[in-house]
Amino acid sequence: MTVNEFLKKLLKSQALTQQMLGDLSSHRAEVEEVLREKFGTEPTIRYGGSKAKGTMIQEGYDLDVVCYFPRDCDRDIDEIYKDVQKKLSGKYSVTPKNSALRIQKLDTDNATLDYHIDVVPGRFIDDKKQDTFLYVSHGDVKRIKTNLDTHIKVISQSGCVDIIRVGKLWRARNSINLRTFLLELLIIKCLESYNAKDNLQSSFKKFLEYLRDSISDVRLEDPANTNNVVSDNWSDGERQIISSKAEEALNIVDSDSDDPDKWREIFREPKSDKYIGESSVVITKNQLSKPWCI
Amino acid sequence: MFSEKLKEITRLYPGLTYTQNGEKGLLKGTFKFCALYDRIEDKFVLNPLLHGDGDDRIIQDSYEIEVEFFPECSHPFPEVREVGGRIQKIIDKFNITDPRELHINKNQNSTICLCPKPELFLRYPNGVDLVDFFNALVLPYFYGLSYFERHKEWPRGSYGHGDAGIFEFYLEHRDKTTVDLAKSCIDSVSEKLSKEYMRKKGNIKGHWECICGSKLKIRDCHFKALEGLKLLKEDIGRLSIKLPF
Repeated sequence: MTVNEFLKKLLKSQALTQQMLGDLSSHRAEVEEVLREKFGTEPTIRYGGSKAKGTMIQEGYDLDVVCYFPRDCDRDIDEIYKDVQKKLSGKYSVTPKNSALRIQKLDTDNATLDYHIDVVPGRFIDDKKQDTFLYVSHGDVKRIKTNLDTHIKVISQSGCVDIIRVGKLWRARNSINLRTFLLELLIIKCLESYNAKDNLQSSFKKFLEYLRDSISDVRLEDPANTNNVVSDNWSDGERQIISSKAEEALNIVDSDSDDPDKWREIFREPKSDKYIGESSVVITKNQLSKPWCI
Repeated sequence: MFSEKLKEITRLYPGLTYTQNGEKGLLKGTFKFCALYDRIEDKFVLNPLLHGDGDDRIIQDSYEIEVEFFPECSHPFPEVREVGGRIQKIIDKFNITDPRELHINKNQNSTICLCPKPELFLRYPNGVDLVDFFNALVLPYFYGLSYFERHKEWPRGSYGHGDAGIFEFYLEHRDKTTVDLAKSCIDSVSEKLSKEYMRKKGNIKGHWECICGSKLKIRDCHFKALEGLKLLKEDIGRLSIKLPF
């Protein structure tokens, strides 16, 4: 198996199962129902985050639901945020985040959720329903302009979706504290003029080198609003830790970058085929099925 | 041939013993296994080498099972049941209200559904290969059940219940050139709504009610089943297959 084959298989193993997608869908439907009960058809409610961008991986995903009110609604953005918070608090345990509201204890939970659900209230800037103001609960600025469709477009058309998924998995498996939006923008910036983005091995190695060498002074802007410098709150210490993690990974793969076992190591996957002995029976993918029920 | 297969089964799974009563054969006893599922390679390894380094992909477990079958006939297919009460314990542990979540057919004597019905016809057109049946279907199911007990999910996923699973299976295995798969899937369709959608003229729409009875839009509920259903309907027309309903 080549390194690229390994990385492709790794990504395939991270695709969300039908059950996970079904759970997401029913949780989204439940949250939407709660919001519609209070606000009727006024807000636009849809998926945001990695679900909308196509960058989900099994190990670490959240459900982001945006709830955007029309431009002419009679409340300011802070009132909208508080209204949505109040409505959700009547039913769930709600933790306010910077612009989102994190909710827990859904009716449709059969067990503890292993992902977060964030509702992001906002107000469209105009009737085109694209640019949006989001409330900012911390700091001096009380609102920021952004555009979910721009984010989705920039990411889904960057040619970097698979590398972003690889990056998210590397982050999760190595306990790296790096916000998803920053990770996405870093990868896009690093591979901006790189023509072999479909080569996961070389692209991801390039990204690791970029983290090691350039993260300390990189500046990242929200592609939907260049005044919003999203890397501003990113401390030198945090950048340094990420740079070191990338260097550690590069030290492993650089010793023989075409050896899949080196790559397995940085993704904390056990080495291949060390478990097959003389008395083992191997049952391959083509022989396998999945359980069903009438 | 059969005796060789039987010998192989009892070698791989020594807790099972075989008895025959007329035409009916019964393999019964402790189904004990040590297996590893490699997500990256998407393969199972029965009796992997153990290195003592705590590989959490390896599961060692045992279930009391019985497998009823007809050695001399190609049909009906073997029926597998767990008879030691372990499945009931898992149901109780997770407060599972619908045993179908563990792929148990309560209406059919608690048999286990190891794979979609049409797959059995395609996999074993001339009768079941018992070794393949145990290694490729029974073992992954019980490995999956033990995995479910730990993680509350199936390691390779599972097909949707009822017709939804048939259509998902069709989507994954569709072969444009043969009619066998399409016919076999159509013959397994049982739900009123699925039959109605297949009979209806024109395209199936994503906003129609889901075939699983959830009342959700089919695209929001069983998207892959929707894709499979659309393809099956298209193939029925293209291959001039007559609907049996």
